[in-house]
Amino acid sequence: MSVMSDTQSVYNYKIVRQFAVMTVIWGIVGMLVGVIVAAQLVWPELNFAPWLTFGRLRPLHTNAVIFAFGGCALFATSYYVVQRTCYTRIFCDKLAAFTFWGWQLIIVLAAITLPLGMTSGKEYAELEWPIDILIAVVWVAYAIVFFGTIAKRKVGHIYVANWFYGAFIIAVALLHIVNSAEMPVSLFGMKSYSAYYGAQDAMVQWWYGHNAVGFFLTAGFLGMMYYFVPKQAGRPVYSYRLSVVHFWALIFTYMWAGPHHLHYTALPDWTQSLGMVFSLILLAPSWGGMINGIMTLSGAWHKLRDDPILKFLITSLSFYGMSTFEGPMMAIKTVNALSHYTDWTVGHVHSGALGWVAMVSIGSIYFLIPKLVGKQEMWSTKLVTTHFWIATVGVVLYIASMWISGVMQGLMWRAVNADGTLTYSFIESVKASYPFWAIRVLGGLMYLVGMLLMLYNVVKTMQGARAVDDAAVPVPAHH
Amino acid sequence: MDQNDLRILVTVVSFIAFLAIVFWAYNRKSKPGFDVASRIPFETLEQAKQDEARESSLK
Repeated sequence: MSVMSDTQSVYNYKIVRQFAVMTVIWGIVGMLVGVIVAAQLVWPELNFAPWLTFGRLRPLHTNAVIFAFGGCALFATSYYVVQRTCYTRIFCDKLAAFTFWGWQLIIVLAAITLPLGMTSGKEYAELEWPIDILIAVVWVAYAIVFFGTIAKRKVGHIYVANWFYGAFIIAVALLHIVNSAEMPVSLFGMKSYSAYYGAQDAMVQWWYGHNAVGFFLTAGFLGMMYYFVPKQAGRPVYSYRLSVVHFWALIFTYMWAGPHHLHYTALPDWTQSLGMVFSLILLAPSWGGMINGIMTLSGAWHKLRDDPILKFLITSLSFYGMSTFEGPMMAIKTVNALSHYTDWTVGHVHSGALGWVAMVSIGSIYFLIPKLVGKQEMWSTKLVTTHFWIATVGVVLYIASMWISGVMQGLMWRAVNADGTLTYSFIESVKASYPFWAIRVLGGLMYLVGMLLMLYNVVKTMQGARAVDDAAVPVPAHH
Repeated sequence: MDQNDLRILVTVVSFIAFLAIVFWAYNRKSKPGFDVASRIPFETLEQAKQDEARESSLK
């Protein structure tokens, strides 16, 4: 029994280390596929075999970067943060290990089935029914581990980062289970049909799709922000009361914004307007949160000069502010009439995904890796700075080129001659987009190179290092 | 009560709940508790003391 009590007084860093390393690896895989599909748009000759065509690789890219890269980053940081801020070892090591191996299995299954053309055709929910069931099982295990840890906390208050992680876990369970309701064609086949149909199917899908953005890609990463920004800045969050209002404002509004993906469709008009209004309201909590994160540095701005981890974290918040301003604007019906179905949407998504989600994850993983292997800092801080600049220039190239091509496409598609006929054929807009698609390949490639530098730096940091599995749980200061 | 009355009720109750949260968060009485909570990531007593000393020197 003494062994038992020993493991209870130290943190479980192994699970954090496993997910942290896989974050970097899946980031490289997912972004590599992204660069390939971007290149296929410029050079269609690159569509070699059926399983390597754009149509099959594109969902592989989105699933890999969102659920493999982003997912591993969320698992790693949430398991670290919940242990450190609850002053207790994680609840049930075995179940936590199950979530790691289960999640990796899901990713591998996605990487096999999507190129084979097995898909339910729902964006960001393409995986077929047996994998959907596995996701639900792993996710419930994740919830048990996370909330089990909260339940045995040694401090009275549940730190704000855990509220965000907790909301992310509950909301994703709800979204996944409702949207994945489907009927398999046969017991052993990888084909199913959605339980919903028509406009309802579209609404359920985009209720899921937008809340995947709101809870998977926002709430979870805000949990990261509320722990790692104060830690790296060495001071508590700017306003704790603002963080409380930020949390509840997001919870009360995000769920209603989904219809803005279905403007000018068969969806009832009032539903579209409701989605637009709630999207506009979302600007307030989003900017409240961004200001709260950035102002945490108030009085310590000089730290930004030579701390590349802080550069990653604070720049991510700037991109968060930019995309949460752009998002509500694009949700306005008249703006959407121009932007929808164009590259503008793709640019908007990547300003959020590369600028906000990936940068806050990269910063947090750079924070974690040295601590998990008993080092003071990364092998090369200079290389982290190089990574930061390559990534930043890459994002800017990516989103600027997509903005220009998006607005251009929107204007070309709506241009009409005096007699009412279309000024341009569709293929003319495709032809005009080529230079911008080439710039996108360059921007994406730079971002990928940054991730390769990160992998090299992580390997060098971990080489010959000691896996820290004896970090003692301290007694909380004043609670 | 039909379905729409229930929807209206839920919306109004949610809005009142949100306002109550805002008032609670910005109530002066909540401040000391939040100050303690904001220091939870800063683990040891020594570190908390150092942080406080550094901040008061900045003011």
